[in-house]
Amino acid sequence: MSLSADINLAQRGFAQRFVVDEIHQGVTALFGPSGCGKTSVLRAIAGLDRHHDSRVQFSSQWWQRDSAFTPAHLRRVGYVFQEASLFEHLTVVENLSYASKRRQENSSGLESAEIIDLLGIETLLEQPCATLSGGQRQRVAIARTLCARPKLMLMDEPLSALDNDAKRRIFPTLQLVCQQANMPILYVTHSLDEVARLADYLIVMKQGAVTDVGSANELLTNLMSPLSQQANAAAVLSGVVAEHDDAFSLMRISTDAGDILVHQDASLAVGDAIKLKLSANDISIALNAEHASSILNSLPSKITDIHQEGESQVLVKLNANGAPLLARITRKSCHKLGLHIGQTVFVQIKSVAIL
Amino acid sequence: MIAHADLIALATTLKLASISTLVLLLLCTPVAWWLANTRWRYKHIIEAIVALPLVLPPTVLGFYLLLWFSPQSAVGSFYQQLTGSTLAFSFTGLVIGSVIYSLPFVLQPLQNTFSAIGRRPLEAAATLGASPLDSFFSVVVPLAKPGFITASALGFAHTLGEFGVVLMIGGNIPGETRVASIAIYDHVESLQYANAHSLALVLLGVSFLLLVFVYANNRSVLVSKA
Repeated sequence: MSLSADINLAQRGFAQRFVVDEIHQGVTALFGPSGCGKTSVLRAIAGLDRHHDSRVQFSSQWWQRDSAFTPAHLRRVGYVFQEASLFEHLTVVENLSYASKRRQENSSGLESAEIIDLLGIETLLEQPCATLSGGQRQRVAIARTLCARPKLMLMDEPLSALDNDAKRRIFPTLQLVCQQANMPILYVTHSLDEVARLADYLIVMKQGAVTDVGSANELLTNLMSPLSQQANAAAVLSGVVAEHDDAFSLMRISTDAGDILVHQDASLAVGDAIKLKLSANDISIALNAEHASSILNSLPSKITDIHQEGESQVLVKLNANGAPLLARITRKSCHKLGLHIGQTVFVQIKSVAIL
Repeated sequence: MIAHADLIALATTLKLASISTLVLLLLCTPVAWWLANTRWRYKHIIEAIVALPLVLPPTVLGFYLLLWFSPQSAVGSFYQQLTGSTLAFSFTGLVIGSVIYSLPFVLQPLQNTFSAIGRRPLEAAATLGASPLDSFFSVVVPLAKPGFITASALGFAHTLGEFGVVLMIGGNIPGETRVASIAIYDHVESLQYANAHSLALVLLGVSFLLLVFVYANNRSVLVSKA
């Protein structure tokens, strides 16, 4: 299952084309500033809008090519809109069954009961949609989309209409959905935090065209990409819980870059896969490992790039056993330690966030 | 109280209003849907045409209809060949006249309702695998229910009050084209004020109740949206 698209966004006032090849299973974030054409791309892929001189292919099927155009209801594309867009005349459970009644015969995917459990909406089932909060509405909308058993899921900034509190509560659920949905997911966002937490792959858009495509972590730590120059630049590491240290309330996470100790989270068991976010501002650099320090996590790494930021800071890109990391330090420290590309150093990680 | 002839006139009126409303709902639903969704640049011309009955004097409308209904015209002669009877001074002719006369009262509430619903619920339905026809009946019709109720009540009430058009094209055939408003006119002409009173009171009451129903319905729409 893979998606390819070549969409002419001239009607949206962009002179450029949006071209991507082979979007596979997993979460691909479509990232860019507001008004860069992200939603237009999603709507074209879903078949809700038709742009001339465009092509969309999913696996071996052409959804759009030359004058051929498969209408939206035959594409089996799940679409989570920015506003939940529930059917207001139906209750929550009726919204779900609207979708499951129309799923394709011999489709495979989660059962409705599993979906209700996954989204945590058991208690809402009999309620009319008008009584739901913003976060609840979006949960129901995601559940409804899954109930239709789509082949591909498109999410258009599903969290942007929610307040921070609702966002924080829905996030773990969204991560679970992304893990368990056995299909390619295209996730539109302009939040780096959402990219870091959810995305496996990243497509960066500007003015209707694709400027960067690649693995999310590779792009987040690429010093030439505008992403790493943001104040909240960070690297993301995938890891597995290797051990709980009950005596000190810590756990050891085994990652590509090496073992990292983090605060204990009782809800995680040994063997669980998690993602860690290492903010560039929370990483410092030492020349040797024996440096006495209160910092627990110290990993050998090689400097691969140094980029000056403003007058006083530099952003250093490092490679820790194959995993890219970012460190933001002062230009003075960089000069004092004599850092240069190719040098082997030790990164000291002050804090780690579990995503 | 109400004379037998007047009861027949009332029955004719109710029959005319019911059939006209039904025809209007069938006719206006697709047209209103199209008007609410089309991006055709000349749609305002169609909107002006369907709004004409709002401003035209009923006599003008009736005069043109009378010309069309005459067996000398293309429409009238075609109908006569088809059925063997004329359209003018027939109940069928009255239904056609009423449909045109009350068209904007059914079309506009429906168009407004469809516009307010917007395309989003249909887009959501399409991405869930519902065909356009399926989503029209499973999503748009239930969401537009208050609009259908308002449109029906207004179309019905407006047809009840029809006078000028009927006078021009229907005449005064008891049991066929003699409606309540014509009967009242006759009673006043012949100074039978008591008969005119009772018929007028019935029309006043029915119209008032229908409008109370329309506004209560609109209020519940507003309340449920708040």
